[in-house]
Amino acid sequence: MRLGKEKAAGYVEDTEACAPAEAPVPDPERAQAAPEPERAVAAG
Amino acid sequence: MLRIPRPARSVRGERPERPFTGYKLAQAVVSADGARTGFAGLTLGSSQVYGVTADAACVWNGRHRPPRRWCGCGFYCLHELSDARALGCATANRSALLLEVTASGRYIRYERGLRYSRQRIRVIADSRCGCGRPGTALADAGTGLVGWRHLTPVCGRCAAGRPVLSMAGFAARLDGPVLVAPALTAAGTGPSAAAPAGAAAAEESPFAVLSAEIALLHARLDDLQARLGR
Repeated sequence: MRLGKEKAAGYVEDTEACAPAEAPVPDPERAQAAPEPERAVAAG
Repeated sequence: MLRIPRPARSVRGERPERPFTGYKLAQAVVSADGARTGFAGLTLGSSQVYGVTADAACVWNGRHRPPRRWCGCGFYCLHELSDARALGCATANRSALLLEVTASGRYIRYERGLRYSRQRIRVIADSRCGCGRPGTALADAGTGLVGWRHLTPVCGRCAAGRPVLSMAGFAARLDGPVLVAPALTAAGTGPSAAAPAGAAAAEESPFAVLSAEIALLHARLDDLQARLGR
């Protein structure tokens, strides 16, 4: 990959790592599968 | 072939307040058991798999921290999306995903992009099927690394009959949250949305079949329970 001439060097923190804007779009495939509530069974 | 940029002049010590946004290409991979997904580089980093957030490591010399001047190590990205799209036109890069990333840590800034030490992938911005349509799913590319299979983007039409992983499914198996461009999801409005219904069904068949079988099992259990009750 050709990036061209060097312009500068430095250090920067990833300050946006936990920003709300980074929240993912809800994805049904990522959701944890939860068991459906059991039906009441008449006993006796 | 990667060309290591030479510094025109030594300018050091930048401390920006915000990390950089960049664009890059990467190969999609899936683990041998299909449970995890990730990315592999296209040139220097082609033998290494990385996740959503990763720190660069030099493949030649583990004693220095990337990016080292006079070495080609570190992650690479381009400042402009159009440059990354252009790079994706090259034959060797046709099956790569176009990613939007946040670049941070130690970096060297060049005219057209960055070489840097820490990366967070934010968006799978584009992928192309070999036919030219958006790649809405990923199929086995027929190549890979030990423990990882390379994946190649396919559209609904070209995926017909092949086992594929939807782009959303690929993102769900990553080790962190990554957005998928709407045109690459099943609900996208791009050309792939016009694929035949049969192709779309084939693309989603593993989940659809499983859901149908579970529903049938529930129905049979309900029937059995009703008979026992009588």
